Amino acid sequence: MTDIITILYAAVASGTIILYATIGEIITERSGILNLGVEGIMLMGAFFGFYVAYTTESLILAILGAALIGAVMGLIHAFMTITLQANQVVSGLALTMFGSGASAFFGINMVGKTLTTSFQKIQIPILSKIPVAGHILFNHNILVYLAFILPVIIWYIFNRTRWGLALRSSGEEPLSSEIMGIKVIKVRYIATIVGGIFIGISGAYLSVGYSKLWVEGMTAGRGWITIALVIFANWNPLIAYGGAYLFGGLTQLGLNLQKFDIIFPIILLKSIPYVFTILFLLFISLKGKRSNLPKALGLSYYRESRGG
Amino acid sequence: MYKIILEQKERVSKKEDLIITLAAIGIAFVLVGIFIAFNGVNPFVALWKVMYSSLGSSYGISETLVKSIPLIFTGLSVAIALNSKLWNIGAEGQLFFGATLATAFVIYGPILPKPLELTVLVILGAIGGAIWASIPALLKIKFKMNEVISTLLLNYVAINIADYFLFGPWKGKDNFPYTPEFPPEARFSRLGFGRVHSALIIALVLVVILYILIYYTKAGYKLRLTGSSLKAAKYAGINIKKMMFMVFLLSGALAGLAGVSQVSGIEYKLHQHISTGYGYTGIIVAWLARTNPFIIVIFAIFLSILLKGADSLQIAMHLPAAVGVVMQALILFAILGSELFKNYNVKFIRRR
Repeated sequence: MTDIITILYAAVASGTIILYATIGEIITERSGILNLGVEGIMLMGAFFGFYVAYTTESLILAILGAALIGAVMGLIHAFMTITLQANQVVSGLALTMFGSGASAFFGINMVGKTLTTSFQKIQIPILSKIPVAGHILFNHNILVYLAFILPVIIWYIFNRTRWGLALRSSGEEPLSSEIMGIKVIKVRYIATIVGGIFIGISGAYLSVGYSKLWVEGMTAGRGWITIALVIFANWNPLIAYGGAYLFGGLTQLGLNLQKFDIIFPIILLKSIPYVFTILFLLFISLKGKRSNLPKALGLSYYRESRGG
Repeated sequence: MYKIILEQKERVSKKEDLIITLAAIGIAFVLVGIFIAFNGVNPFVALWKVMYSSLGSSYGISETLVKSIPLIFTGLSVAIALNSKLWNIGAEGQLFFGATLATAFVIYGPILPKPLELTVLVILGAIGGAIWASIPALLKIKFKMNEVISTLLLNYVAINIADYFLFGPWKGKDNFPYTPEFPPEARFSRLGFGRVHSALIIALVLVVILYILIYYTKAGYKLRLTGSSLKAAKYAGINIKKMMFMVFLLSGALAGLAGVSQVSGIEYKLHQHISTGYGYTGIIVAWLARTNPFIIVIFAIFLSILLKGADSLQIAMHLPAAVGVVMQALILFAILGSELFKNYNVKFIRRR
């Protein structure tokens, strides 16, 4: 029983990494831009967040720094794909390469450093006293709690505000949206930058809030898993909860099986996240079509083209 | 305020194409220079070091060629898939799986006479790569799963499998994660120029074969038709699923050959670092060469000049090894951004 509680607790803590990134990517993709640079942006956020936390000893600055670097990475992708009309797949791959390279390049002096400050666990009064669930859900640091609220806010913006409408219609029918007075290019720029901000924060949560160290390539494919989870979540921020925590749980299950050293050799257990991600995708493909897939996702859009 | 107007070009002349590409590479070098200057290293000195270390001596040239061998294989691998608009981001994993399968034969199989042994290894490497590529192929064909994600995730799994053997049954006597050295029968012969080995010949022969296949055969025509328009291909009665599957197998096999060429040609054993991201660099090679096999050779050499140069920057100027990856990314960005200027006339018009 305690084992199960430990696993579920860790599932929430590690699922949070992916949750931030998934929300960010959903925002970007809903506007019609496919950003395959998640892995690179996460790494930059993880490195820069750690660097700021280490040098300034300020956690708030660390998160802001990661958000800023995420915004810059998002801006690069937006500029490449929207203004320069570059292929979104290739630009995303280049972004991932750049992020993993640059974070390793600048981060080499941060390897092995330890932080003097870290996010403290906050026990939420009353709620954390609920048996079992109280510990699993309400005994985390502030970033985990913010991630509880974030998908709801984003869902609200998507479905109940004019911004959300503009965002979604840019991803569905850019041409008609433009005629309706929506500035598609502006919307897509903002969506890609805001998406980058959340992905950057997910990296900082990983390095500063979760593992409390910086290692080259520490995201270990989580960026790619994020892209798969966006599909799994059907581009719906509320389903992203399920995907992220379920995924976090499966990873933890893998780690815990190692303790028993059963069935599978330890090293192969490291493959569990990747294999499960593929099985996730298989599952949803068997379940039928993805209703929320933005129709214009991945296609470049050129405003003047309607003029001929 | 200025407004940017784009006019679609009828077509791009070869000369214009070349000039724009060269300009983009020039811009990439400037960006790399800025990056290097951040680390307190004079970028001009660094550029000189890169060029000198990879082209300034016969040793340098031979090592550059050595690096280009796996890049030709992975470049061809990505290119053949890209021809039919399939993204194989999994060449890295296919490389490792091919190398692992070939190594298994060296470890468990009989030692055959050299030509036979090498033939078996080459075939096993290709089969290994093809097996690994068949997974995303089936997922794509049967379940419409996006191949970018599946091929990439499988890279991690393939590397974990290789790690399993390296840290388990194949662990070296000193407990380090590498296999015993291959016997001489399982090594490609050197060609008499540094460490350049005979897998280069296989690579070049494949370049010619694939060129003919793509541009001068019916199968190649179908391949390109599928790439240019799925609708047209369907209309022409091409079995697209079968075509995609075959393309994936071929693509994986080529990446698997890169693996064999590394273990049997250079390292003479399997270990964790038989590839320094050759599968990913292959994507850049294929993209820059626009999938043309002959041009792939040129860009494979170009990128190995940079990779070899990055190695020497690491040693001589104490720059982190990651400088090579950053260089590649910036070149990719610059070339990618330059595409706009090839396809459109870009005009700036002053707004009222």
